[in-house]
Amino acid sequence: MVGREIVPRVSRSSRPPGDPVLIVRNLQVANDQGALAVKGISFEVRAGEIFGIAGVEGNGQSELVQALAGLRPIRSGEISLNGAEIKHLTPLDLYRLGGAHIPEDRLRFGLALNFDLAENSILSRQREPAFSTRMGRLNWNAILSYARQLVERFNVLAPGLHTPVRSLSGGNQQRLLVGRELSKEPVLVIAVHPTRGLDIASTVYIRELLVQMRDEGKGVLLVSADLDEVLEISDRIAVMYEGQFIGSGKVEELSREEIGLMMGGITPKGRDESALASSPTSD
Amino acid sequence: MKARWHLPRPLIESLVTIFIGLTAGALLMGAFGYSPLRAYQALFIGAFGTPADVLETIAFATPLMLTALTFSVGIRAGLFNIGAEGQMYLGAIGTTFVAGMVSLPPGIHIAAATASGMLFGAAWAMIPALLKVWRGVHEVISTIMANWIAFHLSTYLAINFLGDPTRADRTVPALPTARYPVLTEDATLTAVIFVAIAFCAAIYLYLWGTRAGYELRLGGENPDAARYAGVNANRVILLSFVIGGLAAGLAGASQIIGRPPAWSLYATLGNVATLGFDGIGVALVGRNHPLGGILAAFLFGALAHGGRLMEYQAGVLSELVRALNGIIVVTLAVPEVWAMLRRRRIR
Repeated sequence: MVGREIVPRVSRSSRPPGDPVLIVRNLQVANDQGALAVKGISFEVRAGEIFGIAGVEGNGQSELVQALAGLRPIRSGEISLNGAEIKHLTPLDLYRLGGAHIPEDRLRFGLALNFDLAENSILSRQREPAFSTRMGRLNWNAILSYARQLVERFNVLAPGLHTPVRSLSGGNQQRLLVGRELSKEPVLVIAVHPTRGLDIASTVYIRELLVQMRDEGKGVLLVSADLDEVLEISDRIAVMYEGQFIGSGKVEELSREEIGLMMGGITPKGRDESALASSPTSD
Repeated sequence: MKARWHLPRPLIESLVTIFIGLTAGALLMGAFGYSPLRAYQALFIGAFGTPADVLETIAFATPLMLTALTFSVGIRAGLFNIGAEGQMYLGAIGTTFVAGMVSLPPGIHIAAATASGMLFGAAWAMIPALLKVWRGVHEVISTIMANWIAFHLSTYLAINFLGDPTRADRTVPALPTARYPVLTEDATLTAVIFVAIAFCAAIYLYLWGTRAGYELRLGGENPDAARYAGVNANRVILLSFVIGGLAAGLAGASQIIGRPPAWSLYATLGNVATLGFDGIGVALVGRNHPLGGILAAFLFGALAHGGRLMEYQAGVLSELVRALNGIIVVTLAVPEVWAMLRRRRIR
């Protein structure tokens, strides 16, 4: 492995965060087997901050994000996005209200591998008036020029706009996906494992983009199993363990060791008791 | 719309497999003591020897490009719609009814009889589509069952309601006002070929040039990404079955009002039977592309029409002609089946 010092630290925000763009109250979400995977979580993501959720994978992060992205029904609780209370959130609701979603598994959710680069550049944006007329005709001229713009702005290396996305490298696939999502001019970016499996150049680049989003006043919800990543760019951190937040706080207030212990379900004494109310205690 | 040519590579693959298929067929004929060279010569001359033969080959190709489209659109949407056979029967019934039993002015009559066939085909396709949407019934099961129901229903309707009082073996013939004009005296090709090609081209433009087509292809390509993109999966199912049913219905119509000399449906359904199943092979060869399907249909039309002369001239038994067709289909299907399996494995 390459030591983490190769990945340069990105600068932290100096401005205070603004109003909440995402408010989640007592959210409960079931997994595919019907068991409760998210057991009553509450949090806010504010404009101009990166809220990082750390945790060992399989502690409900996937279900949480899928519920927020409209891909999984919620069992109970409330989600308010950009000021709008949503009962049954659909993916289109998320995008309409200014949400962008960099999904956990780019090959499964984010891209269609046998579609070409141009077709993938409008995946989830295909209904926007810029790309299809009211009669439902695709505007290929606009799509191609938009795809060309994405390729240039986000440094996607590809032989051409008609190249199937299957034949791009993982880093370039992710640059395309991240570029597409960030170019939606979102107020909230949900990014899950945004740099997993990528080369260092792409990793640094994508982290910088997320920080840049934050600096432009967007809210970023970062979910990552990579603790270094969460520590590096988040402003606030929550640790998810068995479907609940076992601890949370500003990144300066939490030590690496504390977070690491919380990821294993071990709570430090005397910290933020309210968040720990029903979490399992260690001996 | 910009020209979006993604054909070349599949086209080359298809040509290579056609060559392999013909070679395998030659070996088979050699093993049974026939001269492959003479047989293929006869096949080629039979299919393309005279202008009339070329037109006849195209006449054979007409329904195949449409039933191939039925399968192709299903595959593009991620569905195995193998119900073209039954949808085509109902299309033939719908056309026979309007063409043979309703009097309409010329021009309008052709259009009405064609539209009726297409709508009957689409209506029949709605049964498996709705079963899938409402009850999650797998479309392979329901379309196969629907094919058999369609066969017996169509036979029943043809004999009991549409029968020709003067001839027990077929339905009432289409009135002259409902017949597509025959293009030349010496071939059975009619103007319905233009309707068939136009329909395939229109579906091509629809799939690649509209949002609904994009969403349909996305639903077939990656259902999870389609959900992420806000695509309604049920809409994709219904849409693909409607398009497929319209195409199969048009194929049925083409054999009633676009194919002399019968201008009617045989009570055994003999003049339409198997065209729907043949379309599956055509679609595979055409790489599930509406335009590729047109080219592949010409190839199959040539095999069907040229095969007659091959049997007659080279003495190759008709069973062997069919085996030859089969080998070529199987070989031609390899790249597409391979690609489909690979896609499944990756998912």
